[in-house]
Amino acid sequence: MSEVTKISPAPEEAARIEEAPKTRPRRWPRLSMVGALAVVLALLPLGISGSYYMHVLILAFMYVVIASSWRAISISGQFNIAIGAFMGIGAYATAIPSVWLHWSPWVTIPLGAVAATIVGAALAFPFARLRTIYYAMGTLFLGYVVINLITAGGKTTGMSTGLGGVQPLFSDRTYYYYLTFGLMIVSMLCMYRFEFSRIGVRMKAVAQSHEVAASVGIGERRNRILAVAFGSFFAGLMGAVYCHYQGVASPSSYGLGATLWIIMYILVGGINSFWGPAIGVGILLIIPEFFFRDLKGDLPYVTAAMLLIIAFTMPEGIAGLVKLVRGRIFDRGRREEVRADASGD
Amino acid sequence: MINVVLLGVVYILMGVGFAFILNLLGIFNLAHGAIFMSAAYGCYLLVVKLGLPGFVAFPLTVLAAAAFGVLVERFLFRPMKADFNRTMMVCIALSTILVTTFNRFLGTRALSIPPFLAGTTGIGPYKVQTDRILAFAIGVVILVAIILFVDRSRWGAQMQAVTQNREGAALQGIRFGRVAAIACAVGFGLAAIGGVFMGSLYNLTPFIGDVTLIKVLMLVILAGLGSFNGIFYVGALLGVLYGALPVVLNGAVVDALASIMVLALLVIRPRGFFGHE
Amino acid sequence: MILGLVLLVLALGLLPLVAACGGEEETTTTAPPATTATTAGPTTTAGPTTTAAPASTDTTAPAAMETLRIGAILSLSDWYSVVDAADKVDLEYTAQMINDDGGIQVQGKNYKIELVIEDGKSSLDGNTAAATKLVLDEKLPFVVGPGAFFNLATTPIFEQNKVLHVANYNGLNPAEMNKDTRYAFLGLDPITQANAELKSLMLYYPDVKTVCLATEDATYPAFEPHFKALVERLGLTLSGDPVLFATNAEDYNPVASKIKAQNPDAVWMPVGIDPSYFGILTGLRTLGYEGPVTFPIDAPSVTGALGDAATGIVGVLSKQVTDPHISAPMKRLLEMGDVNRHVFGLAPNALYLLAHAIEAADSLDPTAVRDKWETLTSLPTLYGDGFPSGSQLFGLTNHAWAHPIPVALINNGQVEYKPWIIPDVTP
Repeated sequence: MSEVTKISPAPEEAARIEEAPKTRPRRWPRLSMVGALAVVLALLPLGISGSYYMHVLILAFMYVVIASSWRAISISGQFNIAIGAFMGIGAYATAIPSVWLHWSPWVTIPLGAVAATIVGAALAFPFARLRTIYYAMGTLFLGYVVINLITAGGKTTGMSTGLGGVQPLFSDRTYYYYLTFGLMIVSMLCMYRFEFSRIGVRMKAVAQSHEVAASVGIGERRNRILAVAFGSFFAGLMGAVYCHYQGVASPSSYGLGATLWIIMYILVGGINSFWGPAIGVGILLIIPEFFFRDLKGDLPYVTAAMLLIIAFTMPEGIAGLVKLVRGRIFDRGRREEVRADASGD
Repeated sequence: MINVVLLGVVYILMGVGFAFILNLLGIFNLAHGAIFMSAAYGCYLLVVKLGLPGFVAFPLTVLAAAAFGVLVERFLFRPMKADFNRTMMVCIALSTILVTTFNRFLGTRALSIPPFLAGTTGIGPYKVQTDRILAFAIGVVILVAIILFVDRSRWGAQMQAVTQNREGAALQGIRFGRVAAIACAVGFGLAAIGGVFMGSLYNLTPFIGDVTLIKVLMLVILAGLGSFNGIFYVGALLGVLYGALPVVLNGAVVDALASIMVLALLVIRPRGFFGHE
Repeated sequence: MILGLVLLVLALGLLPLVAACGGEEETTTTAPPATTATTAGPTTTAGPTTTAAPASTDTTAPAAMETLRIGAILSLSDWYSVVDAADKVDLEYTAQMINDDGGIQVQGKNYKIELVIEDGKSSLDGNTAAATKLVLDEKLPFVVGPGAFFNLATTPIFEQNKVLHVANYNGLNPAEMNKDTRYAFLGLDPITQANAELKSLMLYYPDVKTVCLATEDATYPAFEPHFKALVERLGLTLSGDPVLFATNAEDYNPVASKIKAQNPDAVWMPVGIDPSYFGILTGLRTLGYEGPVTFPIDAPSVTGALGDAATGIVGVLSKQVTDPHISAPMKRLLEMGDVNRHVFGLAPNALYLLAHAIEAADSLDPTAVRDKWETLTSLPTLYGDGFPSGSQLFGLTNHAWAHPIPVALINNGQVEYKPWIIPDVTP
């Protein structure tokens, strides 16, 4: 199963982090770009208030966090096909008390996030000894079990039709926009810290070789469970917010199909880049909804075509392409420097 | 009873096809369910729209699916160089395109391929539709043929060699490209056979592939990756499970219970019943 | 850094888009919401409903007609498109039919219907998105649809924005329609359909005393008390526990054998999809069960898929031109396209009701239409004279509607059309 090891981040990723202090000055322009984007997005509601585009962006913010949380799990070498289920646990853990016990959403949403974390961590134990394709398949069936339990849950879960009447958080969509936007910023900062810290380096070491990692005292099991708990917290949190935003909890939002599309966001954006999931959501979610919605029943062709184009032309996703191009430019720059030095002599 | 056995046969056909592609190409063919559905629709079109008799349309569909398999291998799978992530994207795109196409053009009615043989036959006190017996017989013959193919033929030997050690096989002069093409042709062809059976015995919608894909994943994983024989035993087991559980339980509870059992087995025995590292 | 640039370009790309969205929408929304004056000449507004409009109308259409844009949510992709892709064709024909008759008359003006159809994607999320689009971007005051349980997602959005919405039918979940959802109307009270099934069963098979209820499992919790009450009202008894099935099952034979084990006089399948009905029926006949079976049908689909095995069926809701009892509007609708197509007639009927309610209210204000509609006790439907039903069930008076229901008996693959049955009003 050699192909599965490719799931884990490329070695140069880890190498780059060790170089981090050296490259720090160069990161500033990028961060300022992200900051500029954040400012633009923060001001956007002035222009799009009360339009469908706002709805799409709210969804996009949530999916950026969910997709990034999947990547946070994946940096420890775990190809988890249960991310939708974690969202679903978060969603139903908030929807059931909200609908049947009329608890306040501000209580139930954290409950949903915590529930997803606990279930995620608890289930990570038996799965920590599965690796590569076995882990992927194990989590696939884990997701399938969760969805089946929801559909078999009788009146409490609303079965496959979904559970309606989940209380909304706000009546105005603009508040949702800022809530999800804020949550996205905070979550992304957390995940950035997580990935580019000692813990993240340990995770990447585990992903590359659990034997080598163990030989230098990095426990495989502990780190993998930590990664799943961390990722499922954000997935559960966003699943909970998502369900209050939609006003319904429905198993189809969290099933295998939904999970595979979340993974597609990451693969399209680039699995080896921190910004990959965000780019993927921009490409696969925002573009079709903004520009191609009128195609209605033919819309899936557009997304399928995008997947094919990216699979054929960009092995590492869009972020990979960007990295490649940047690499070429810098290489040329460096070569020119060298040449200049040589001529100067 | 015959239904249980027949369902088992369809699962085994699908599972063997899936395992062929997985073992030889290392590709997790998430489009397997879509191929299965497309073949059923293809056969329906041949029989109903072109008026071909069932015994002509059936082999024609299977051959077409096998040819499609060769094309997919050459133009979609091979350029991906067995990269798990990229093949996954390609499979999902392929599956989306097939499902959307059939749904757009034929999806407005639940269809059924006309039975190849009408009427029922009495076995003891039970009445069974004749086409089911026929389907069962064909299925068993094909499965036996596949076992013989893998065990006895030159190509089968090459495939086993590739499964065990790709580089070693290449050193022995086995051309991987050709073996991969054969594997895809056989895999898609078997999916097509399963699809035609399902389409003629049960009903046809553009979404039947999704449910079947899950069952096939269950089957292949439970049997253990890399194991052929396991698929036969586990396929029979799943056939019994899904044939018998709905008799005592209601709707969604069946799926929940069956999937919990599979998950539990998977956690206890990650390599499946018959798998090896 | 390049990455940052790309992100910035993306962000900048969004900005003109925002401007564009304002611009694009202006063409439709700068004028007073949802009504733009157009002339009914060759330069009619684009749209499938108007392009094919023939000039032959029996009423004298005025020279200039205004346009009334009415939203519709149909699931055109994924699993529910089996129903809604077909319903879309008929919805467009229905709009054309109303337009041919001079459109909707409000305060002396004739309004031509222009449909704005959104894809609900067969999921609650997709329906939320579709409703959001119709309400926020299109700013439509009237919406038809969605069907099935998708109203769970759309009702809160419509209610909050005071949009009058007429569901095709629903799953009786209180979140879809309750005493507080005063803008929610319903084209077909699902209990009356179930009532028609049992009534015709009793009419043509008078010996039936016990029925086995076999239904789809996901909607059953909401339907359970109402189905049980219905059986009691009609003086029947259930032969045992209801047999529930999942609509995504491959093999329905186990379900059939469970039904057979109860040995009922008849089998009643009120909710499901064609594959499940056909699978169960085939299974029952193979097992040697010979009692009558009742479920909603499309006669050609049944005989086409089952052949001679289609026997002992009491089918409701099949609309065919060969049916001598067919209602005039339904016949006209059928003859507008391929007469053998499967007409579900759900969204079209909702639109038909809505058009007549708007005319009755003589207003284009959703609140005014609602207030008037709540006082109406009879409205024409595609199926004949409609009447309100289920006031107690939904907690709303005159919000849910019912209509005569077609009945057909199928034996040995032969269809025999019977007079349409008028279902009892649901309390």
